[in-house]
Amino acid sequence: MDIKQFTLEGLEEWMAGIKKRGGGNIVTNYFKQRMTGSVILGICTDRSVMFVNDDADFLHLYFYSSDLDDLEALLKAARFPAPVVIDYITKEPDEQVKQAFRDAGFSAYATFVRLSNYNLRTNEKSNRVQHAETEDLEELWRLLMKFDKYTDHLMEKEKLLRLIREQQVIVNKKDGAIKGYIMFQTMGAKVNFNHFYNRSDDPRDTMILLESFYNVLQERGIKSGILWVNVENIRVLKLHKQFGWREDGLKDLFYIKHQETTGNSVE
Amino acid sequence: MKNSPTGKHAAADDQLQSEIEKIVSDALETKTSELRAETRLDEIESLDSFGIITLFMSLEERFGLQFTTDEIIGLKTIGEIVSEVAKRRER
Repeated sequence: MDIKQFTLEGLEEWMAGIKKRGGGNIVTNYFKQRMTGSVILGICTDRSVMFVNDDADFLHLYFYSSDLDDLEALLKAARFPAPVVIDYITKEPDEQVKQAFRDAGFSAYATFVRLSNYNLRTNEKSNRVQHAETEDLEELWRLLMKFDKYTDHLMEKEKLLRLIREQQVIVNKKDGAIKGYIMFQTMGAKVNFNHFYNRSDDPRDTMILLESFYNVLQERGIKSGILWVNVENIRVLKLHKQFGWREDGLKDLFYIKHQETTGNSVE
Repeated sequence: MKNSPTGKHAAADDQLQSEIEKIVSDALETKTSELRAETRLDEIESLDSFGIITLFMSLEERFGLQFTTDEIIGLKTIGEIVSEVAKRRER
């Protein structure tokens, strides 16, 4: 099995061929996600595609298969020069797929649940909203890097700058320092609530930051949204539920395999 | 001498005070016996950001009103919360 460099278009063409040959029973974690890195390396067989894309210092692994045994063989055969993360979004996790990950040496790393809200909180306008400014970029970037790089889809600095310019980052500043922030992305009348961070000593600041966020959304006519929370983060789950967010059944299962040095190499 | 509520009004205020003390107690995981009208929220040892949110959201749900960020900042004691809720209910 040769590991080669591919284009996304080439891989998608291969996937279409698998679907044609294999019928409807496809397992995949590829839903046309945006690739984080410029290099895509993969292995293709008649029944499966497995490919990796580089992130900061690890790899994202994607698969598309009509045959789990074939996929498992690919997962087992490949050796990676950096940690590899599988991000498996599904409503009903397929136990056979999970077993294939485990048999290939991947460990369960985290599970996130998606929360939706179709009736975002409205309130009286607050004058406490403070949008981040371009001069906040470095500090925000440093704070963003405190999140989990394997699970939290940390954006590139250029993208963060764009969000700041588009007023999609609000901050709570005290004595010139950022004590909390919320990063989000609006798409039409919906919002993707990306990152929420608070390190203020004042317990009221979390609520004030959230209220400010909902005020901004209200001003922009945003009525619904989605966000993802780690199931182990019970308090954050509870917090969002108090603001009307509800689990919608979609889960994101993360598996990780750490660096190996022998066998077929993806380099 | 200050005017003090009497009769029905005093009973209603006491009931509201007790109800709000119970909400504070549940939200901040503290004993109602430790709470007084003059108790400052930031003196309650278990107070944290999640507790504050639970508190204000519970008050909103129970009394059907919303607090602005200025009110969240301004309401320092249980007595002030009781007064604010009572005032809003009279409107």
